[in-house]
Amino acid sequence: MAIELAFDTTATDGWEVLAVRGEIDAYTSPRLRERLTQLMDEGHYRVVVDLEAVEFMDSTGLGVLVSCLKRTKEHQGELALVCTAPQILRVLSITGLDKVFTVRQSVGDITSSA
Amino acid sequence: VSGTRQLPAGAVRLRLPADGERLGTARIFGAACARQFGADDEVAEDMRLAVSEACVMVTQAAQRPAATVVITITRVPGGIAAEVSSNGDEQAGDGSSGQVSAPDAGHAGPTPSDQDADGWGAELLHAIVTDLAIERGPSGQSTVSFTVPLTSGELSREMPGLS
Repeated sequence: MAIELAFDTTATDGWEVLAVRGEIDAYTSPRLRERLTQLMDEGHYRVVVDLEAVEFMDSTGLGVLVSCLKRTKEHQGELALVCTAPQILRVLSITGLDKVFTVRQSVGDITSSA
Repeated sequence: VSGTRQLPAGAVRLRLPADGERLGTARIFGAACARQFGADDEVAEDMRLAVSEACVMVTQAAQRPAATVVITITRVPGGIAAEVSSNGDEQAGDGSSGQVSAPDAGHAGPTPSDQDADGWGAELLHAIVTDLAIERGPSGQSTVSFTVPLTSGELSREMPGLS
């Protein structure tokens, strides 16, 4: 069974919002990296990754998000997460990355506060 | 099958190509077995994550692309035990029972992860399972075994045929 990952990008209040749909694992995470890298290559360093439609994320997904966060920080930017799914919040919490990322319940919580 | 222990009584086993494309199947299998063995949604979710991380671990540990990954799940007292192993030098399609064909060359296994991701994978496993053991053989085969504990509520329920 092939795992699919889909993206939808919108611009809101100076942020690029990347809505991700599907499951993020060792097989699909290169596609997430590719999409985020593309956004940053285009000069977008304020990025929201909306994980609301993500059903699963493992450690390789975390690796992609962290490496992209580092790159946005190097350009005085930010990579924030939208997430309410308990299973993904738990992965962030176990690894301590809930303290590293800005994690909010909605895109508006991020774009309207910065 | 060489390198694969006999199926314990009551255990369920899945053999699949060591292809990253099949990670989703491995996760569904892990979660479904957990539910079958009396787990609630939270424990089933833990099993889903643990099986996925273990599959990545055994596949990446192989010295060359492993032909197959074998997942065996068993109900044990207090939890659900899983063993995930790769047969590093074994070729798929050798006529063994239940064998499936190897992935095509265009679908290599999981791509190398970020430097920190390997550490997080182990950290995640340590946080959600007990009795974690990682064994690596001389030919690239490796085995990750662990137990996902059941909650007290789950343990108090009667599960005929299981003890």
